[in-house]
Amino acid sequence: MVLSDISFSINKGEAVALVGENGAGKTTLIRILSLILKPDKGSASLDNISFSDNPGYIKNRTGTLFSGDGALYDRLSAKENILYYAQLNGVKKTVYNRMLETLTDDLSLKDFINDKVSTFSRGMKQRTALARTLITNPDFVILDEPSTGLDIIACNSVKKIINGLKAGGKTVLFSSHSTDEIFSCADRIIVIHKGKINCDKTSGSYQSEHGKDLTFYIK
Amino acid sequence: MKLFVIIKKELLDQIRDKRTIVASILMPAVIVPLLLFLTLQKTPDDGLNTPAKINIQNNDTLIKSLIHESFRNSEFINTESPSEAMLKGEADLYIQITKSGEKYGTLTIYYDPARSISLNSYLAVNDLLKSHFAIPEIKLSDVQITSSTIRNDTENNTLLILSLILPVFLMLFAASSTMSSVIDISAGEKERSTIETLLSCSISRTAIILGKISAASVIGFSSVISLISGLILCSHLYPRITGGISLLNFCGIKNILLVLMMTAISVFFFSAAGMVIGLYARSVKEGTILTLPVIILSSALSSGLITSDPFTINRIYLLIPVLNFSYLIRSVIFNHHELLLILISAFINLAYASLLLIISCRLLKKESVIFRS
Repeated sequence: MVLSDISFSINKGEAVALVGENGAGKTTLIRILSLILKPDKGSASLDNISFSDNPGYIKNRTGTLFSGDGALYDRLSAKENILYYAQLNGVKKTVYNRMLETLTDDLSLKDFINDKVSTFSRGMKQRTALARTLITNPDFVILDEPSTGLDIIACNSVKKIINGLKAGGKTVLFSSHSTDEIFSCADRIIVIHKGKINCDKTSGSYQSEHGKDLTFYIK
Repeated sequence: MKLFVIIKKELLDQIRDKRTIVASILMPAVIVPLLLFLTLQKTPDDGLNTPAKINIQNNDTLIKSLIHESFRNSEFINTESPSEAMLKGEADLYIQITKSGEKYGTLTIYYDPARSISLNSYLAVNDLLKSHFAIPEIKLSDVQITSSTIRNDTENNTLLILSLILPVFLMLFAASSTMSSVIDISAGEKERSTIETLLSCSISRTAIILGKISAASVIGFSSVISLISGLILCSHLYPRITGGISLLNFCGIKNILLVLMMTAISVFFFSAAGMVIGLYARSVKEGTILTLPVIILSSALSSGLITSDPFTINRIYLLIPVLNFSYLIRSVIFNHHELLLILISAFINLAYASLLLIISCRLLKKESVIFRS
């Protein structure tokens, strides 16, 4: 997907929902912000540090949960998956142990943390993937369709997690197709249509103008 | 009619798949002629068309001129230890002569049946001597012409079996197990969608590639170690499987380690080649299909120079991975090692592997490859 004229900023501690139809460019934007893809033109920065100048710093401060089935290694346990990601990102052992303990409690991983991922349900995989994303204690959290395919209980957990991150001072950018999730978590809504930003409004002003109709800018 | 509709559709579908064209049509057309071409290298088709090095006891003038007249290509050498010279490939034939005064008694031709040049030279010289001494006017009818091999039957059997099977099996297992492993850890990342998470980590793509290639090499080399260990153990308990002498007793630990070292470098090469294929492939299944021609080609190359002389190689073949080390492994089984050739081959294999590593790193930066679906 080709993106053009994409320009926005997110304040620290803000949760921004990225909305758009399939193929609109949300995932491409997330891949650029996760430093998987390099944009042909333009720049991005975090804490006034350019992505191209110090990609290592950006990667250390960012945690991304990509869309899909959790994207975990089936033959490893949940704990091994989390540890692998932590080691690749150079997380110190003390930080890892502290974060793992917190995340195990927050995401209710205790019952299956040592089990192989191949035996997990979709919800268990998503919780494990979230723990992996957050193990580095990132300041900027990107979640690409975190609740897709999850049951109601798991969806509620995701909402709680996003709100919890926000409350903890983290900056969150998440893409979603769930109206409920967007309006209960997002401070701001950015609508992408055919690679361009069609709307960038606070959640409150969006609702007062269009109610909960998320298709308004993508018709 | 509907049957033909299905046949037509399936054929059209298959023909449009490039992998089918490569694996089912192009590969067989290339591999068999290539194998035959390589097999015929350095194989003397008749007699002494290929120059043979002949050692004649006391440099006997009559025998020497007899051979020289018929086979002008032949080279005559003289050493103090003829058996050793033959085992080292410095001589192809040794003719031992017993004489009483000027009268010939017994002519014994020593040859090495495991080397085609020695065997063919023996057949030609034996025929020549027999026909010469059978002429009644020469009045030397009491001359006896006998022959002997430089090794005993058990040694010959073992040498033949090991030199034929070991290079082929080693390369086949090295290629198949390494490729299977590297495809799982490269194409598998795409299939499981873990590639995005991996690429978002604080680690360079070169480090990712190197880590994966090293892991696949360990798996591939473990398979090779397992093969050699099994062969050592089984041939120790039941030496007949290797022709009568166990692998360890015949080759010795030093030669086995040298063979393992050469195979390890080949494993690294296979790992790098598999990485390029695995990164390009959409899934493990596609990667496995794409590696099949490579494995077939590797096994063909490993048996390519099987009939060539283990003591002389056309150096152009050293430029071809798999072929070079298979040939050198065979030479080592003959207890012949040229360090320079081993170093050149190691350099060539590592150079190819480095090139493939660079290609892998490039592929891992291309959006069209990472997210190829």
